[in-house]
Amino acid sequence: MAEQEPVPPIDLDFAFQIHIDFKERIRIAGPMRNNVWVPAAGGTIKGPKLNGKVVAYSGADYGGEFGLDAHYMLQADDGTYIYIHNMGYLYALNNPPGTRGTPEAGAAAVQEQGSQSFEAPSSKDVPMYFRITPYFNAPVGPHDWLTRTVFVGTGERFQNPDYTLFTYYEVL
Amino acid sequence: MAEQAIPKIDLEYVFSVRIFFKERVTFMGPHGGRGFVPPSSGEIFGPRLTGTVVPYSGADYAHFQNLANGIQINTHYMLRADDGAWIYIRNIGYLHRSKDPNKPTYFRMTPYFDAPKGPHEWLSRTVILGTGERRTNPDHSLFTYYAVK
Amino acid sequence: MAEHPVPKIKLDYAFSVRIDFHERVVIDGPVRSRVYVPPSGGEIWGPRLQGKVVPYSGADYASNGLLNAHYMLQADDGAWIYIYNTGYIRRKDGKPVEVDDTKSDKEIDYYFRITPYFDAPFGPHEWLNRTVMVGTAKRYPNPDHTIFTYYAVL
Repeated sequence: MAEQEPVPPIDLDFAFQIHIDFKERIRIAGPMRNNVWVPAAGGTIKGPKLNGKVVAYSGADYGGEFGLDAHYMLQADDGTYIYIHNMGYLYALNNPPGTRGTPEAGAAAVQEQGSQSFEAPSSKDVPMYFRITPYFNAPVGPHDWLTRTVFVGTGERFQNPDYTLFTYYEVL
Repeated sequence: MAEQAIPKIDLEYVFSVRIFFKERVTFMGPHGGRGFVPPSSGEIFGPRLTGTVVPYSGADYAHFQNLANGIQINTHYMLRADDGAWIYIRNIGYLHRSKDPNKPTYFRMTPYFDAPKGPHEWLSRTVILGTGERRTNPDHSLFTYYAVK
Repeated sequence: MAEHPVPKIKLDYAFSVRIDFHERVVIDGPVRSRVYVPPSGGEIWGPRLQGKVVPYSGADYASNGLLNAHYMLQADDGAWIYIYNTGYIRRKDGKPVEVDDTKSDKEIDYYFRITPYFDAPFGPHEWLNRTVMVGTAKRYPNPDHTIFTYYAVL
């Protein structure tokens, strides 16, 4: 029988924003799966819980069709290197995955596009669902709280120049 | 550029695992195809490890774009050595049928292990390569593992 | 860099999962510690999903307080759903989390927060494949079980 317990709330506390610049976007449509290579060309971190920069070309998003799977490095203002592994979902709200028919149709559509390079629109032009859950590793020290705290974030896309603004909340 | 000698790699047979299956679930979704194939039982034999597969301790949660192109092996489950030690195995690799009916199925994987301190801890720091063979009646797979020297 | 307005995130309660546990195994390895904690069974209820946890369909293979769970759910309509759950568990008193903690009757305060990812078939549950979720979990002893509360991140 189901537990009749009140549903515990979750509280979020704004932690920091990361602005990431992009110059290249590559998509690989393979026979087994699709994935992207979208390296971080640079960026900055600003917020009450962390300030610093994105280490240029220290990694990328290597995710699949609409799931992010990003691995790269941050550097706090005090010089500490921090590893970030980011997962989540990004897709246009008017064309969510699952309404596009079978995976074969989806894969075929990607193959037909021909070019391996691709554009990512701005949130202003294409409303999107862009939510992420980052995981971090940091050395013992002032930032190691990142290694035992769950975060949830939202992304916003911009063009000219091409950058994404990530906003991260600590899950209390 | 000067010729560089290509370093040799040796493979040393370490053990075999036979796994029996009773359930196979597959479905298609927005991420592609997903499978769920749990081990109903199994045995381990060979020069470096003997024991059993812990029944229903995990599964191959394989993923695929379409089954005709093959699957990506994605397993998590538990083994038990004869001395009682618990060992976690995480296995990734590929299984696909050749377009040439005379060529065997390609079934190759790279397992990663977590073993306790003790006689099996070498599993936690050795790269191992595996090959698989599918058998029927009853439905099972035979995995042969080689340590990469 | 110009100040950016901080967009709001909304959490929408989706469903709860109770998981029962009969075994908890620890592998004390040379490089890391790993656990094997399989679900012996469980139930799902709430506005967005109802069903059960498929008994012994996987486990949490966690290491050093980082969850790494892979198992199967089954909705009331028969649909199979794969769950990969990750997140953190730690004791708020700073003591290390021990496997025997779940046998103690004493109330232990944990920070236990998770971010589950799902693979669900085309159909009424396919929203799970494209929605980021965040959850909080509470452990109970005698019998050993945990209740996970999941919110969709809107």
